Amino acid sequence: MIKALNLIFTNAKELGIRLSGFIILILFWETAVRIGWLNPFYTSQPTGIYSDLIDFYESGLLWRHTSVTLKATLWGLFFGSVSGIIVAFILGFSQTLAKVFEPLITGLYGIPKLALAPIFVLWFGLGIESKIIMSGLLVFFLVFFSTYGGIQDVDRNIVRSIRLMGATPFQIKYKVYLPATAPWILAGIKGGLGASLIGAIVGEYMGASAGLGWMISYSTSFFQVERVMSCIFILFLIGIIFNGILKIFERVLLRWRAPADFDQPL
Amino acid sequence: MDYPHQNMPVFQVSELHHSFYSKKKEETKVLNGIDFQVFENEFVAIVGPSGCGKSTILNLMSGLIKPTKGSIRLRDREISSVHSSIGYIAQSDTLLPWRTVRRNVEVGLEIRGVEKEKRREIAMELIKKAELEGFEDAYPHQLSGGMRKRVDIIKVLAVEPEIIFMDEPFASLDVFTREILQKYVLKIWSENQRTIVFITHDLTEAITLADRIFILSQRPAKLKSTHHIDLKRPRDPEELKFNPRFLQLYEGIWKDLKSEVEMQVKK
Repeated sequence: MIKALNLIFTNAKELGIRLSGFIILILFWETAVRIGWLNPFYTSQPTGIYSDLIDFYESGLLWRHTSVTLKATLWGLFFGSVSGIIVAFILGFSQTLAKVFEPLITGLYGIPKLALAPIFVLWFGLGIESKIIMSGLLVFFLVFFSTYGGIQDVDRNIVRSIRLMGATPFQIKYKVYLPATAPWILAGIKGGLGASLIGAIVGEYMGASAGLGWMISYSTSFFQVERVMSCIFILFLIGIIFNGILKIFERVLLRWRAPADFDQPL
Repeated sequence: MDYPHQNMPVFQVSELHHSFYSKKKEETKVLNGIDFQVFENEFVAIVGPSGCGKSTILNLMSGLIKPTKGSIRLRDREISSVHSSIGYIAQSDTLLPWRTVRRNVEVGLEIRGVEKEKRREIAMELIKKAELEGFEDAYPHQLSGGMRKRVDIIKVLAVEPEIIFMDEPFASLDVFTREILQKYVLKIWSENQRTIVFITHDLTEAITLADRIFILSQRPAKLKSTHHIDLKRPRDPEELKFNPRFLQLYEGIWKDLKSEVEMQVKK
């Protein structure tokens, strides 16, 4: 009983520490507006954002726009990750293809891809497709480079020992390379989470009829800063939730790794 | 010469030459005409100064690389590719870090398409025999070096290879762990006779384990001499060190090896 109480207390304390920065920021913001340091016309204020969020929710618009953005983000993340992994594996095992395509991919990576957003809207329309493609493209590069690096890093001794056991080339990829690159793939996807949101939002800025990105640009043009802040708050929550989900994946998929030893001096 | 294994040669290595080529096509001769035979159920050790090409011989014999010149016959066929009747235990750790001990032991069986129940049964039996019971669900990083090596060995034993190659398997372990594992290898070998080719630079280890020892010269390596170890079996690695016959053999072989090592140092 005491143990349980202790645990709740420790968890509450932990949560408190994690939230304290956030709470301080909000209190400071509200106070600064009230005593006239900040002009709410430009910065809005927490209480105003709160009441706007309630309006936003009750009108049913919140979920409508959030779901559009989420859909573009998740599909972008999915297609970007899958294509990144597949292309990395193809180039990782074919020297010829790697010679042809690796410089090409590296070159394309150098282009600021957000600059392509208007042309994607022109090519793929105002619908969700152009956003998925924008978002997927950003994710692709991150997952590709991470996975490709991981393939180069696989322990050749392990590969040799599995080959000596008579494994086919496919078995070697499936039983050695794929699990060995899992940490790299997950690291790529972790970076891709943020990138996929950026891709979807920027795509919506350029031309759309719904979505949080569209809502932000629409509200800004009418100086509805509260609504802009509401949307940003929702994006912030989405980011946290995505990261939380990925952490669970990491814990399950990478449980074989030795835990990092924080007690050891570096 | 007579020794108990003079029956069919399992391996017939003749006139084996091998060279490595750098990017600029410069040749480095590693093996310079090596001939030997390994017989059925024989325990052979190959000893030589470091860098003389001991591992290259095993890589050639296992079909991982092709010789520049010469032939290696397994039974009556030329080795042309990786052969499934050979088990290979390397110096480095080759356990899959994302698999538990049991799933590591199962990996070879998985590759061969043995069904799940059967795999589990075989793996658990080997784990028990290797005194690793209770660790079947542990991950490699949770084990000590000696335990990992034992898993590495039973992983190879699981597919029941007729021939086992060991390339300095215990080089990275401490002396005590090494002795325990030598005992373990001797036990495995006596329980279920197999042909073993064991590479080491440790002469004590070679004498303790082997029926015959091949001494290689420094690079480009030739077979310098062959020694028959007539110590009685079963052998106990701990007691053997004080056995007069052991010391006698050691002295004789060491003289042979010493000149090669010294030459290498002078170079």
